[in-house]
Amino acid sequence: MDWASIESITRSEHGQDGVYFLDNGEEIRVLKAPENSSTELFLTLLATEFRFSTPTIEVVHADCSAYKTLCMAIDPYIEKSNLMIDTARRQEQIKSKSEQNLEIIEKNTLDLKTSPILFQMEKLKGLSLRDVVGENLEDWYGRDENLTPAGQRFFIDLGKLLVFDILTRNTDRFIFWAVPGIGEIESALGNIGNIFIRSRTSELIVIDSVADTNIDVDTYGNAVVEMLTKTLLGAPDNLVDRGQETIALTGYEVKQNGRELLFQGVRVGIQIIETLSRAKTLERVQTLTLKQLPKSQSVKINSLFKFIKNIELKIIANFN
Amino acid sequence: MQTKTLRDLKRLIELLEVTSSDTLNIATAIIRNNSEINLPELSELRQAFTLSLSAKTNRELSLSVKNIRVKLIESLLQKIDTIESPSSKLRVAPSLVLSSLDNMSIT
Repeated sequence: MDWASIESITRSEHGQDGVYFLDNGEEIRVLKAPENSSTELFLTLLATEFRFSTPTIEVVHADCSAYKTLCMAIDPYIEKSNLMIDTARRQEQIKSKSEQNLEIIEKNTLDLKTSPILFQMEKLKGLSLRDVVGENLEDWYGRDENLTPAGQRFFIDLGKLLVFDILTRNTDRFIFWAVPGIGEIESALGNIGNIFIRSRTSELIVIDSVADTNIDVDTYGNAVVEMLTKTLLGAPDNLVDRGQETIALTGYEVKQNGRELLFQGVRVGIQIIETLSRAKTLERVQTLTLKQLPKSQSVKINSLFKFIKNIELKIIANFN
Repeated sequence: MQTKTLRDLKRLIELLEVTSSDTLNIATAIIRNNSEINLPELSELRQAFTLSLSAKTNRELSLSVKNIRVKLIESLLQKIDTIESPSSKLRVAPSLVLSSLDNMSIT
């Protein structure tokens, strides 16, 4: 993208860290500075290996030649956006607690002086589930009784994604509230903004993945085994139930067909973990992530790798 | 200027084919930067979209979003047509001529 000719930068209303749309009159690109860039990059690469569609990410950090030019081009727009966020936050803070909009209060401004790691990404054409209603899903996939091939694929992918998120302890997508090993983390109440549908193909795109590794890994590993066992046996409150509840947030009604496909997706997800383990995929993803990020990130990357590797081995040992 | 407007109108169509708070905000920024484009239907679409998200199972509200979007894209196509074919008024003319001929009495 030609940074010198940026015509406008728009900050998305959603997301704590800030997602910016850069428009130079010819094309629109997405720019973000994730708080935990190494995790997001690692999980995006891993999601691709899980046979999910993901957005392409180009990492731009202080050691890259393009970094200075990019920062200079966006600085005036980011300054303006930061001011607007500050003003909005102040307006919320003077309100009574019950009237405050926490999403606004918790928004971070972007400080380019701290040389943040930036992600430049393609602007996906489609909608996150946050922006759809039940009827949209019916148009794309048909009702549960009469799912189209795209609908069948969507529910299988969603089942796989449940496994992916359990493997990586992603608490910011499905309703994982009070799931053993996850507990009562606020974001686990469900964030369907992180499930995206490409408009041309209606396929699921995995975006904005996070991992919360702030737990003893053995404890979590046991909880994952318990949850997957419960799901495969069809015991109450399993992953399929959580997938169904999460999609219900759009107003779409998941019934028997959707549930069966979610279940099928869970089984496919477990099989993929076995395949990836044999192919040493996690190790490859670790290397790729290390290559793209500055050395300062290596401790975080290695620690995330170890966490996921432990869970992977636990799953293989129990479900092979 | 006309080329920029034409380009922006085409980009607006592509953007607004899907309605989200992001596409609405980007579209607003495009219009803000181009004084030649006036699109009152955009705020109507935003209102309908917000309302529809607040009641996700209400079919009437989601239908309203679809209808406004169709109207808005038609309006954008019309604007493009006006710029691309300055003679478009002439293209309408034959029917006007015919209808006026119908009204003529032959003496």
